[in-house]
Amino acid sequence: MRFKKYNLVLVVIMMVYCVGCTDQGLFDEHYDTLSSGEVVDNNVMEKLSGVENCSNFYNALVTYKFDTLLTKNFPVTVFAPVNAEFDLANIAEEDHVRTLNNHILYGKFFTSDLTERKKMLSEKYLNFAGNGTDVLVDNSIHSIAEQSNIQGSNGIVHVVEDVVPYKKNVYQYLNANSEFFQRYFELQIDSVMDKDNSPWTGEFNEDGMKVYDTIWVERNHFLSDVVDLTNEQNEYTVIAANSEIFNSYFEENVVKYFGTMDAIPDATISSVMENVVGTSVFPEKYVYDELPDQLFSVLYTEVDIDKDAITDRDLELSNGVLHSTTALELDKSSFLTTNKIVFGTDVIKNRTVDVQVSDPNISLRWDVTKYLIYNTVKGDIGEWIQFPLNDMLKTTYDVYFGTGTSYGSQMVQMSFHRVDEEGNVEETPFHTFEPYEGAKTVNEKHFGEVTFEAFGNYMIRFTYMEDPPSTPKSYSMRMKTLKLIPQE
Amino acid sequence: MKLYNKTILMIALLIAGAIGNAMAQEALKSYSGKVFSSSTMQPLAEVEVVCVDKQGVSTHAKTNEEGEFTVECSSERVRLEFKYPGYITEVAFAKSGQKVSILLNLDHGNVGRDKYVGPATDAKVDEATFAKSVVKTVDQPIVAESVDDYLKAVSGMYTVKRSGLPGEGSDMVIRGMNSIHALQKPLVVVDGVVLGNYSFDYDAIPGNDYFRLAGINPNDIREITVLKDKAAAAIYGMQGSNGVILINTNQVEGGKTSINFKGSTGVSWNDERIPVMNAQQHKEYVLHQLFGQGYDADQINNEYPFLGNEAQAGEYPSYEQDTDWQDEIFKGSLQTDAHVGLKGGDQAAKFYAGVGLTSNNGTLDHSTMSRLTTQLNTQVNITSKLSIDVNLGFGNTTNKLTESGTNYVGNPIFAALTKTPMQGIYQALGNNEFNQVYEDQDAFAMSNPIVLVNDIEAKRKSYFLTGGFNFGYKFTPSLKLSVLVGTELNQTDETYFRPNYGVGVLPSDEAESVVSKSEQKYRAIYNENKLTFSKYLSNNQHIDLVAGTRLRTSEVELGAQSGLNTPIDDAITLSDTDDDTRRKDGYWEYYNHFSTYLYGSYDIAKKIFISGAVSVDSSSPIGELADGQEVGNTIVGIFPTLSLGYDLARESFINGDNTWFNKCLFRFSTGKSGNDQFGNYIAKDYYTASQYWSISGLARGGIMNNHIKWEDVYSWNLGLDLSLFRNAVKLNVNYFENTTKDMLVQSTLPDFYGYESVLVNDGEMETTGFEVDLDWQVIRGKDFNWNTRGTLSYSKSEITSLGANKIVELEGGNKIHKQGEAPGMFYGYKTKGVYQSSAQAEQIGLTDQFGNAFQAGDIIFADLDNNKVIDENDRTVIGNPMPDFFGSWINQFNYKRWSLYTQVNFVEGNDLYNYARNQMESFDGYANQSTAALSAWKKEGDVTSTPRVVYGDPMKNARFSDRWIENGSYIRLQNVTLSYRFNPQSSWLNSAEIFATGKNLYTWHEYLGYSPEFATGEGYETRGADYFKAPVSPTVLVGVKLGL
Repeated sequence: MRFKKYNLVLVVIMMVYCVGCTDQGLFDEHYDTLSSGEVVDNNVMEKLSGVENCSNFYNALVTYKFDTLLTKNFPVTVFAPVNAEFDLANIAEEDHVRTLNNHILYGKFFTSDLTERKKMLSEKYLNFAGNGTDVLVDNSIHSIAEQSNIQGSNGIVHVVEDVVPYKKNVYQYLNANSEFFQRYFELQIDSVMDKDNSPWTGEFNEDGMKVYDTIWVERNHFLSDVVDLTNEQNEYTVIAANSEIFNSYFEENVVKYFGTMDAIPDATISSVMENVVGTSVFPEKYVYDELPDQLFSVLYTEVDIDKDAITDRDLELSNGVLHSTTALELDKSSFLTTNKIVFGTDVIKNRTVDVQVSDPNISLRWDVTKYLIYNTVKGDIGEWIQFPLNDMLKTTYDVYFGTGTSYGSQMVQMSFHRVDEEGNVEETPFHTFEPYEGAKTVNEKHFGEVTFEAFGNYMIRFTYMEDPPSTPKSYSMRMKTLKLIPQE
Repeated sequence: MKLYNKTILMIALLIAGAIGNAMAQEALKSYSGKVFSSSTMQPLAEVEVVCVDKQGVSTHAKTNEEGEFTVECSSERVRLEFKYPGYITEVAFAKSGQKVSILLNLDHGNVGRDKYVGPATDAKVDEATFAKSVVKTVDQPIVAESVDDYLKAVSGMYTVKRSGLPGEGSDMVIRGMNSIHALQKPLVVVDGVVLGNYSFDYDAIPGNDYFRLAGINPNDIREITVLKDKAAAAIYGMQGSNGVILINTNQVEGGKTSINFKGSTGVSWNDERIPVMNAQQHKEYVLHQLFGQGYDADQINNEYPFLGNEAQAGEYPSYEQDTDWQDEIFKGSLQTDAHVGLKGGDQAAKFYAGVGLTSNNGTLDHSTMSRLTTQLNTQVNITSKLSIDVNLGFGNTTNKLTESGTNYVGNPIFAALTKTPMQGIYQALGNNEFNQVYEDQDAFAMSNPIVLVNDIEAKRKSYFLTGGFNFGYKFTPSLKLSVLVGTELNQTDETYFRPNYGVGVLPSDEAESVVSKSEQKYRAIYNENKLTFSKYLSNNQHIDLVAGTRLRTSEVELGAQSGLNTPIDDAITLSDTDDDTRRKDGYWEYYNHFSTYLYGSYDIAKKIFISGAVSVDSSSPIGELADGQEVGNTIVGIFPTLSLGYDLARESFINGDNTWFNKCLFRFSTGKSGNDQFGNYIAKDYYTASQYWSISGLARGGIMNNHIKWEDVYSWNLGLDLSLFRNAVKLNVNYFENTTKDMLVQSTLPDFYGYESVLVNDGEMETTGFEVDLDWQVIRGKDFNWNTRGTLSYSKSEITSLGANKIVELEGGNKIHKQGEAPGMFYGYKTKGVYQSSAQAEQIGLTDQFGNAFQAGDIIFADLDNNKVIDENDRTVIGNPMPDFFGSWINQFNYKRWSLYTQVNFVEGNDLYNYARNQMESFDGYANQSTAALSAWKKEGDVTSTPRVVYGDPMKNARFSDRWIENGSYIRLQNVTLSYRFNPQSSWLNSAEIFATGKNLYTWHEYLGYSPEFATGEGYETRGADYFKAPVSPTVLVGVKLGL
């Protein structure tokens, strides 16, 4: 009997030890303590379908096939406007998709996580101010506290009391509201080689270098080099005239020199508009009430702000704010420039000579002697030499001419020529003069004024009007500078 | 049972007679009796019976086939010793004319007990009056890897297995903490040779601890004595205050040459898992972190295209896996152990030789230990008076390791827990096809954990030799001189290479690949001379006197080099590394210790005991101006001790015919011991070579304090040894109090010194505690035995004098030494859950030190100073890494030839810092996290204990707080061994036994890491901090023992 008792003891002890084969769920106790009780099995689309007062929005999502996006396994946060405020019919059709996109955000964000600017699927950044129970979207639209933080397996739904409007950013706005900006921005786009992505053709050139199929990519120099007004993360303040004032001002102050808008050369547009940007676009967002007296523009120019001239204030854009002003002042110096020719090239008769139009402020060097017309002999009457004058504005210029030491005493006629589109040459005699004045230098001398009737390219021509005297045998006119200064 | 009763009766009568009769007669008296084996209850033949009269003259006899003996001696009262190979020697006192019955307890193939174990226990009395524990390896039929495995059942000794890496041993503390800045490791004595108390603390392989005692094969150990009583350890003077572990290897016994073989093999596995997120969950987690930082979908598509919304299934196969990295790095592993012990000899020369081979693999893949050990013990009696004992042990251990510690790119366990499960081991090609090439580091710069176990070269070779020659000369039977000349030689060589491929790079770290190498050596010469006088006087009085000297000269040496960034991963040597990154390190230190001691003990008929000792010590770390006695030009410490004992049960008025009240020994001991283990150069002014990248120079090596002295530990111990019901129930109770005076503390220095502090002897600490040992022979029958043994230990330390609080940095947290508290308490923030709502956060209104307000979802830290700001001043004591209680419970059942041994260990009341969980719930980056992340606070009103997930953890919710301090209590089924002994009827086979043993089979605990049992480093600094250590794992082994 004793043997059996002992056996029993052994068995009991072994059994106690074998309890060790089961797990105790220690971790479960520690790690599963979240007591929300919420079912998060359904995805966001399914969750949305269950929200009764957002059926319009839900149906719009279905219509535009957002269901793939909102059922896939990538986190989203959706701001669903209530039916009362959301009707696709009230939204321009072209804005349908981008408006829907403006209600969706990648990532799971509960109201307490929504405390800063975030990028919507529309590529627009919106401001959020979450306080735990609800959230203020875009500084204006509240979520409904009871219908916030609806948790789906792949995201969160917040019901909001209004539609979150799709807004243009500063770039888009300016582009759409001013043909000057539009043309300016277009001019900034060019193609650059994308060396990294250009594939090798597999061939070598004669130097043994690899030959690539160049890939060209479009680049907006303004956005990438000057200021990226499309950057939705930054914010800007624009103080600009509204398009009406802007256009009429430009008509009066710019276009008149060129005849038509189209005639204005690209370079002029660029320099003028750079000037405009430099006085009207400012980093950081200042609503009217916060506007200081002075601001540094995105081009680092210091601008005095005339708050009184601002008529329409605080137009909210997606990355900034726009104020309309009547004060518009343009520095015409960017296109109203002196044309100056510095003669510097050896010259052969009866030919058009390319000369460089150089900066009028550079002083001439006297020690360099340049004969432009030389060794003329009898029978040369009517011979001429001409120089191009490019981009002459439709305005009146004062003409200054200077010569160096010259020989001979023939009369020389100065005239302006214009070749029109049909190839007709229109000649406007301007001034006849005798360059020889006792072999001495004649500094810039006012020759009078000339008015161009149209914007365009001209020639200035010097023509011998009479034979030279018998002595000296050789004649020469040494030309130095020619300046055309707009009268304004 | 009749026989058993009779035996007890006989013993009782014998003792009664012995005490009653004081006067001896000169004529020859005859003593007779019978000897039985306790295991078989059969008579034992050929037992050697030694009868020692009061003059110390001995007569020998042997038992016959019936177990009977007769021996003649000249005195009326004698001491009888019964010796038989394989049994524990018994001693009895007898009166002439009485028959004596003796039960000899089996020593399971081992040998007798009478052996040198050092002066304090060299007394011939069986019951020392000091508190000590004697562990006989035969009592624990386990498969031990190293000696510490036997010490888990020692009361008063807190033995914590360092990890599941084979051979990493245990952290051992005897009777609580007595010091802050000096070493707290017990002194170890192997076969009389005092080992050095040095540390090989340079980690060429980061984060691994070296345990030199793994170089001793546990199969060669017969007995371990733990001197817990600091008073008992006082004889070890300046080195004794941490307690002493005396290890005795197997003894020479003589007799017929016999061979014992023990072999075992088995498997170990780790099925503990920390729940981490799966691939899908981790993907969502990373996306949350990215979006939380302000990433938009385009940026994600750019930087982490595999996570992006444009990623198509199959497009990024490398990130479409779902790997359980823990399953990949933890594997079932094989353990084998074989040991042969050979012994024999005759009266002139006896020998024992042991050879052991161990090959243990850790459950962390590719972590191995292979060990070869030899032990040679001989005793040669040159003349009847002169003898030489030689004990030499040698162990050669090779470990393949992995990196440990807090570096997530190097530690495979850290990496496995935090690596994204999205990736796989091998380069994925899609459609479940793989290149047989490991994945490189992932997009989050995390290492491939498999590379960290497979492609890392981390090898440690160590050589450990200890032993000596002991010359004994017997002037008279009572007076003996012994001269021991011994040595300890220890060397470890570590080589480490971490490749570039597959391994992550730490932010701001220039290390791509790492090469590191070190050689650490310790050499010591040890000499002990002692004169022993041992004599039985009349009236059964016994006196022992010992006078001796002890000298140890030692040196410890380090040479280490490291370099970074080899050109390719096949180049793994230092010469391949980048010149500019190469660094060298090294030192060569000396330590000398000299001690002179006297010891005396006296007992009257084992009833009244008095002993005392004094040790006069000097050692090289002590400053010239230290406060102590000056002898010659040397400062010495004097360490006296006194102990008293009284056995009530020996009183005639109690004893009489009483058979149930066998022993009632009251013990008291008091004494002083010291601790000089605080580095060798604090009292020296010295310069050290210093390297700043490739430029070498000299730098001052600290601020000298030539007043520095040893710490004094004053202690007393009150004990009771109770033995009842024919020794069936044995109860030992100890209460102790240790007071450390002149404790080393850090004194803050003014800035101009260039050093923050210097160690001075200016602190005090008190440790009190008690221990209970119970040994109960519940059933002792012919066929069935049941023995149950339990220990319970308690200790509590308190710093009683410190000066300013000292805050100690530890990786990922802090500890504090504070007056009125135990040393090394965890020091951090207290928490009260998580803010459920913004309203609650606003109402409480706390900010961090930068003024940022805590929000809903953040942790509510306790604002202890009520200033509404959570800063460093709100830290407080949040836990104690030392336990209140610990103990063990052993049950041993024998039924005929079957026996079952079970050992349960428990620890109660300690706190652990779960650094691993801190890292896995910090939610501050992309690393994978525990599944706690799933229950993190998400939105207004969530009720949870887990804070919100925010990249970078801006409010530092994961700061060192009580969130990470966990209850480290556990109950562990440490060992179960079932064995069957055959009775071979063979001329060549004496004994045969088969056994199956299970280790660490199950642990009941609340700790959320792998295992509540781990130790990093030494001392208080890292105690209780869990730095992703490989867990101690269950193991099942089967084996055989053969005696030829």
